[in-house]
Amino acid sequence: MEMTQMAQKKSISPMRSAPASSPQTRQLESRIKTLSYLTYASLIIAIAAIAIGIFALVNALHAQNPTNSTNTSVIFGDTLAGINQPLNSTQLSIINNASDSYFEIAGQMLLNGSLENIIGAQTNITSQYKVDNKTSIIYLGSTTCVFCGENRWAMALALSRFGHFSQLFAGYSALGDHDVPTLYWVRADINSSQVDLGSHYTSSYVNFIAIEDTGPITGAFYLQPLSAIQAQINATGNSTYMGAVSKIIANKNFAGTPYTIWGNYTVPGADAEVFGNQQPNSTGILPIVYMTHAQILNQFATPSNQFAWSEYAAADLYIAMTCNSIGNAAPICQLPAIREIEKIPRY
Amino acid sequence: MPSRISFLKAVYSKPMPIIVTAIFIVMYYVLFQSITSISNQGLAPILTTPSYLIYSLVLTSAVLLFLSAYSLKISLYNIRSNLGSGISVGSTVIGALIAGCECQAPILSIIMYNLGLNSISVSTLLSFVGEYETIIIFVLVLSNILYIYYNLGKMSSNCMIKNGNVVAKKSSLAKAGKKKWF
Repeated sequence: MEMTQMAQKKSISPMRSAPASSPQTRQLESRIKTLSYLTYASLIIAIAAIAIGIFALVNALHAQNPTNSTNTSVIFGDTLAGINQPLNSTQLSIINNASDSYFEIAGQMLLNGSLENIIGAQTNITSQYKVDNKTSIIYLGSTTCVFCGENRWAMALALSRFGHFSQLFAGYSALGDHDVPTLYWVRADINSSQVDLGSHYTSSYVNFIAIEDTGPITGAFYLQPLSAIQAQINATGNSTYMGAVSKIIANKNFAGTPYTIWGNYTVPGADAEVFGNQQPNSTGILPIVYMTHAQILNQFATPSNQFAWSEYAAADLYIAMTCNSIGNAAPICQLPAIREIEKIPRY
Repeated sequence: MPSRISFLKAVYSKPMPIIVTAIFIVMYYVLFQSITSISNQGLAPILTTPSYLIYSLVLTSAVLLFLSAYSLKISLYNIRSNLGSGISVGSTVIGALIAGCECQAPILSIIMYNLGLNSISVSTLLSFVGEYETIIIFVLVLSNILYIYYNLGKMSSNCMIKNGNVVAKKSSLAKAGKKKWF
């Protein structure tokens, strides 16, 4: 009888006989759970490491075959034609001697909302960085950067109202960052990572302090950390540029490139997205990619489309900020459109 | 034991899961575009991330979210289901912040400055993200796929397919019922 009862007890289901709430069991379950999470985490890290390794290998193989004029493996444009060539005197004159009336018309179009492209800058107020008792315009960008590429056209037009460029150079954003035709302030290093300083600009109203981070133009967007840029500038011993980069760091609003300071105004980004006659489509190739430098400049010479007017309007914003910072000392500051834009709080 | 693929087929054999997943895809795509647009100061985002990666991220996030919710529905693995949901949302948000990054990253920067980082630290992180943007998004897609695989594995060991429907095994229900995760 007892044997039968014992046998019956032994035949009770495992769940009922298992000590489900014993501390040892709970500890074991916890350890198994932790181990499974660790296993999966290790698996994810291992796969990520393999993926990074594959990408690095692909990039390294790609870097061994630099492109000169065409590269069918990049996503966007495929030309670096004329890169680093100086603008000829006629082209330079289009920038330097653009008619004030173009800035006025574009400004009015901006104010009455008749521009298709979106023009507008998020600005912050800062103290002026003065060198030789002149207000400074500071630029920090990257040769590889698409927004810097777009922004330099408007910047050049704006700066031309306060001074004069003796040289400007044809440039492009990186092949892997939309290959947008643009201007360089100096002949750029397009093969390696370094910092190009300066420009061929003179003005009695402002200092133009240009800091251009460079990277391989055949690659993708590339930007060194500010610490590296600062270290390279400090190595030059140039106090003007050392002070400028220190001011950028001290502003605590660096959010990428382009980063500009127009007297009292910091602009952490481009002040417009002007890549064609209308707002860009994120999935398509930007219309400006199909333009040559000569074509862009010809449009500035006789503006008649949204693209050209938008660039002049983007320049107007920078002009308004500068005028506000220098007490409207320059003739361009007397334009009615500039006066109206100055009244907008963030300009 | 039916395979993971069998369970995936069983889950998506009905129109409702497909419809719900499609809604999640739209939701995540809109979320992605919104965040990249904000990163671009409201302008159309200019992306360099390959489109196929973006679509993969959105698709895998939507499937992961659905499977996580489905696991919850059949009363399984509450904490893991929420972890799956969190991963799907997190990967889409992170992907959007990074894909819209390129030269500028105002949202990321604001977050980092508010966390007390200085310009040097922020720029270092931006440089890293800018350089490895595509790889990071690839890893996010991979993490979604891995968690989907994990979810299906748990489903296959704790559920059965009955009349074309996925139902939890009684023992699994009992175990889940005993464990109070919240």
